[in-house]
Amino acid sequence: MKMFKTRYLALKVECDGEFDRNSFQKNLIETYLRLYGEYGLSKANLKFLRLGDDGLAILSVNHRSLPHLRTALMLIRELDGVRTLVHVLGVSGTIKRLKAKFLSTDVGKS
Amino acid sequence: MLSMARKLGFSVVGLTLEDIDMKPLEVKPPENLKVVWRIDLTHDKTQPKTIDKLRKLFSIIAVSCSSRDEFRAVLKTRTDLIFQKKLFAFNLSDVRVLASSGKFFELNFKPLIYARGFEMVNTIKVLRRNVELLRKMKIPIIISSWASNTYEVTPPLELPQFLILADVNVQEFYRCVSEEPARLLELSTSKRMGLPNGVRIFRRECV
Repeated sequence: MKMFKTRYLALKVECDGEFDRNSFQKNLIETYLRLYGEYGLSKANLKFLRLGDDGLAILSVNHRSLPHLRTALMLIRELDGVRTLVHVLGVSGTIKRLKAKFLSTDVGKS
Repeated sequence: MLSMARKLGFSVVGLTLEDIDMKPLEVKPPENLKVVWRIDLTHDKTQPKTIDKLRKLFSIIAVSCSSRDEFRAVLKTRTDLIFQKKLFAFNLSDVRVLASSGKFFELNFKPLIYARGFEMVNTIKVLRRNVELLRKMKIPIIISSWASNTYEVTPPLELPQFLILADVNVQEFYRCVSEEPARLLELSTSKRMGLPNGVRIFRRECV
């Protein structure tokens, strides 16, 4: 049996101004750390697989930490003073399925 | 804000007024989005006459409470929904009385967005305690975002996610953003028609 299952999340980050990838990455890790601590973040195995300037992002996370990540994403409302809303488009067990289902324009792209 | 709500998948949105002298405004919601108006009262403005007058204008009558004394006082009123303006911990007897009153309780996660440090710790502590008691007594809960601008609107299926901080199974709470609000609207509509509790109109036929 697989012990470490991964879940992939497709996100859409909507900003009042320009979307800053680094700020989003920093803010998400800070929020997660604040809520669940270093031990929690280490268990989550959080990875940023794609972070586009258009606000679309793909993250991977341990399946047990998925609800925690969704809570952390929900609490992000500001990135360096820019009002922000993070919208989870969908969750899947494989990147291929995630792209086909939630980011259909991405299918076939590397 | 309404177009963002539609985009995020809402089918019904409640807009709130706090001034009892104001009337619901004319708004043009986007297609497939229904807007209902709600009035938020304070505990000292919940006289039966006021509520009767407001029920004709508003779909939902909510009342806020900031302390346990206020909470006890508003349980005796004829409002539909109770919410906490300032978070405070319930005890079992409070929740028992709430269960017998048949009112809905509103949970919102806005305090969690802005709380930091020790304030956050306290907020989560109170939230965990309250959610546990509300679940135990099977109180109908409604989860809302209390959004005051476009970037505070949260997708409906994301709304119950903050309850993971209260160590509960989030799946159980999806009904708090779908079935329970619909039931609240149905109940308040029957109250507006003057129907007694338990009586519903399923169909109208012109003779």
